[in-house]
Amino acid sequence: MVFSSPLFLSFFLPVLFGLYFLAQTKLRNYVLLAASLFFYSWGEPKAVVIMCLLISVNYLIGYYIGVQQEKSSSVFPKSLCPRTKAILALSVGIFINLGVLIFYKYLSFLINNVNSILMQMDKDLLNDPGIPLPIGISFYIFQIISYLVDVYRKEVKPQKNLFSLALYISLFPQLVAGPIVRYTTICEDLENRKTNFDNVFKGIHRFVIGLAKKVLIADSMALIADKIFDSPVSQLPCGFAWIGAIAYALQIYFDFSGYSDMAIGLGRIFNFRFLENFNFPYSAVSIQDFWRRWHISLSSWLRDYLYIPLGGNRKGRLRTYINLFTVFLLCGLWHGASWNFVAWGAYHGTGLIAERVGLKKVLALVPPLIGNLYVLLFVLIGWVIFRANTLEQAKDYLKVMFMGNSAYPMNSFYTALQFITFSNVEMMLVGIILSYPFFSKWFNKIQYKPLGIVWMMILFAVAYTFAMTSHFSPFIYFRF
Amino acid sequence: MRRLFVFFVFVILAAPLFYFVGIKENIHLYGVEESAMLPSIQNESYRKKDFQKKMETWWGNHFLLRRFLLKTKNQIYGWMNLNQFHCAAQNTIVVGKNQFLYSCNYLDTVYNDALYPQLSQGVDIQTTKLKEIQQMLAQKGIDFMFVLAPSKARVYQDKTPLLYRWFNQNKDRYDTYTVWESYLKSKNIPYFNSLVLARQMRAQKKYEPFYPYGIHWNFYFAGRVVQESLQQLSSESKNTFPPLTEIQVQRFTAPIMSERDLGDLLNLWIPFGNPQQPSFRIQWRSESKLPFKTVIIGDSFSNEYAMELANAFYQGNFSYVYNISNKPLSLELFNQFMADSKLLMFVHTEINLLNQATARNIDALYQFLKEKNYHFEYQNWHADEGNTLRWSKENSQISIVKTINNPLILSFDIKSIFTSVQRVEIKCDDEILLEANIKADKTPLTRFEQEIPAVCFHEGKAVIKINAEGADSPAHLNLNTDTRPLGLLIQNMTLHEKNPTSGVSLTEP
Repeated sequence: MVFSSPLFLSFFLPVLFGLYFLAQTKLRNYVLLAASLFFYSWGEPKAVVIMCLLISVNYLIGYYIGVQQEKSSSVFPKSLCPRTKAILALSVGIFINLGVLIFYKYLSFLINNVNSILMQMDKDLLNDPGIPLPIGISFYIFQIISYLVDVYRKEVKPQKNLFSLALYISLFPQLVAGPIVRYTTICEDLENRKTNFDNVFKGIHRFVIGLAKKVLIADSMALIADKIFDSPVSQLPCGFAWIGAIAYALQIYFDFSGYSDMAIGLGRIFNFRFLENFNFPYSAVSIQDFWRRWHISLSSWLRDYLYIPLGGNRKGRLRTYINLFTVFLLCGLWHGASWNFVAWGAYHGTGLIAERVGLKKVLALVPPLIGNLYVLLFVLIGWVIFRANTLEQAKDYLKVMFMGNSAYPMNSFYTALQFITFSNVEMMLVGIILSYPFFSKWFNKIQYKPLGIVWMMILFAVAYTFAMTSHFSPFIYFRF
Repeated sequence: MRRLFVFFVFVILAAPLFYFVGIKENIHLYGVEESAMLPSIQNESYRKKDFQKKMETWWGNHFLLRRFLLKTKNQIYGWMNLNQFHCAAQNTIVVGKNQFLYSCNYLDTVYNDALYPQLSQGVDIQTTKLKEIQQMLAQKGIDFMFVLAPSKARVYQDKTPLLYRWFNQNKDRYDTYTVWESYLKSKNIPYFNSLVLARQMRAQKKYEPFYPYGIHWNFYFAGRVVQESLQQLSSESKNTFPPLTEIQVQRFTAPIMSERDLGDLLNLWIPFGNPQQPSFRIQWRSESKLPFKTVIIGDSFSNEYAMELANAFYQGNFSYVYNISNKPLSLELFNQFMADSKLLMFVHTEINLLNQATARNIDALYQFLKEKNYHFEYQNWHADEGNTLRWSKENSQISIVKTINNPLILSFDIKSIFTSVQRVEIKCDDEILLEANIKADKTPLTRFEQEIPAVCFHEGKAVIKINAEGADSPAHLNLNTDTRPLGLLIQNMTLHEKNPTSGVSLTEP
């Protein structure tokens, strides 16, 4: 069930609001949990069982780690035994969770790659079971791992109530496409939260912004990007290749940040406070800056649970570069089992290393506008690699972007033309302007004032109208 | 103000739920649209996500305010200078210069080079068949004429959207009409290219052949085409028409958004462009009778043509067959309308000249004339409701009368009104040829193909019995007010040989 679908907006959401706010405070977590499980089972009726099993297993592991950690700090302060047990339990937990993730997400990829080698060696091929990827598994498994690690690190106490942990993992606003909410962020909210009108108001306000981003901008951009990327590259004139890349860059930003806004807004309606996931990434002046602004919950997760444990930048330059590259390679792989994503991750990793090697010093000398143009160019190339169906297509597409396609006249490219109409172009301009914080000060000033609220009502009416009457358009990050 | 905002959002979110307390909108369905049915939940269908998909479709079609929101969305698009109307029409509509509306598939035929590579080859095949058709008809004393109806995008190419013109500067591109005309001319098949007349009329600037918001030629221009084409036919054949004369050209102001034209399909709250547009129509003197039975087969453009032909004569016998569906015209239908006719006209416009629609009609006529002479006899059936659609009563029977007793393939679409599964048997000489379970009312028609063995024919007649479990009235089933007992609906019944020899292949665009 997509957040912008008629069934979600006009059925699931109002019914849930009714049940939630009419329920007694102590029952509200159960209402939310039931709704979240129903929400997930609607899209993944089989995988909901796996999620429930993972919740139960991780509940026990987390509890066990907590007990051992408590023992290690109080009863046997100098003994290694409970700590070893905790490490062992943590390792088992991570192994199980990553095992499930690898099984569902990467097994087919691995088999296909092994098969391509076996084929060259003229040997029998392995059978690809073709296991479908359950929606949101990458997100909630990362949440579970962060929970286990945080319990191990004694940053939080293990959750004693199975239903509360189940609610944390399955909470529907962030379940299928993030943001990756850490247990530390909402553990207090899980236990003690009171209905607060200000939160309901601000939550709805944020939800409306996200809905508008998705249905008004991202979906308009998707029409252009999909058409261009789905056309044969050999028929793409240079200009259209650039339009396609820009449209996709806007689509993925407004789609994902729109979803994050909706998730943050929904969380806030139920009095959960999720952390921000985007901060005008296209206004960044370096790649490092970009990753501080793009998918913040993932980049900070990778920093805290992968980069720093690998040694971060504490073990010399070479090791820092290797760590950075490894993290971004895995970041790419997290997005999907495809060489395109691996290449995209490696590309960004290389960019970050290049900045560390010396590019950053050069960027510091040039005006921010130049730095921003460099980031935009770098990111656009990255999105082509990310969006293309194969690495070959990405290579050909980039070739057309930078070297043109003189073999074909402009009139050979007709199909995308019908999608590049005035209102889409208007939306592209709006998207570009809203990608920068030009109006954020002004918006922050008026957003909760009467004029801002009236605008928000109009925006909601328009976005709701579009959402309710549009064809099915899933969020991009659902597939990760 | 904050409370008002929260209240406003909650009310709008919850408003569609009022569907469940009985507040419903009237849903108007057009053409082939089928209303989605509320699915029943079952463990298996939920596990396979079938239920979820159907439920989302059903809710998407039925929630309260759907029509209101759809129109509002289109209106917003309208204010944004229009582009995609996903729900208002099957095809997208774009706005060109001076607010001329175009359907995208007509622009495709002008600008999309991808449609062209096989054009000559396809037209060659079709016109070869048309030539044979013309000769076979001539042996029966029937004249034939192919009327090429103009495409708005061809006549008003200069008003097509700016972007289309900018990026399509290839002047050497050959067009459908030129190709068709060259083949028709070289094979000496009577034709009338109304694109030429349309361009002439436009150049004269007195009357326009199309309206800015319309999709088809207007009645005035259709009338002129009728007049000119019949005049040409009279000069070329033995069957002459009396000259058509007019009293005057009526000028009137018609509201747009009517007749389901493009303006209407936009489905806007506030009319697009000028709400009233000057319209013209020829007031014919209608002094003569249509001298002989005339058959018109064609696409949506043939509608205006047929109406003007009917208006131009005070009395006459003509059959008009509108067909742009994916189904071929049935031989039964040809049997009905070809009897005693003296003139057969094809009226097709560019999109259908390029896709399979024209080819299918040519093929079906070719097959009829080549293999011909069978017909169906119905017993215990309700009357034909047009386009070969019939409802059975109980124990209904179809007889295939055919001179040659060779095995045939009988094809037909079938559906039932019953909400439960209806069991159907199709028998020949008490031997069951086909058993089938036909599902409920609102599912699409199911197409069956069944071989009728040669042994079924006795003295040129095969009696096919169709037994349905029962017949009931829609009124009794609370479906509508129809009180007739109905068993099964059968449509598009066709016969063809087991190994057909004919067939025109043109790639679908």
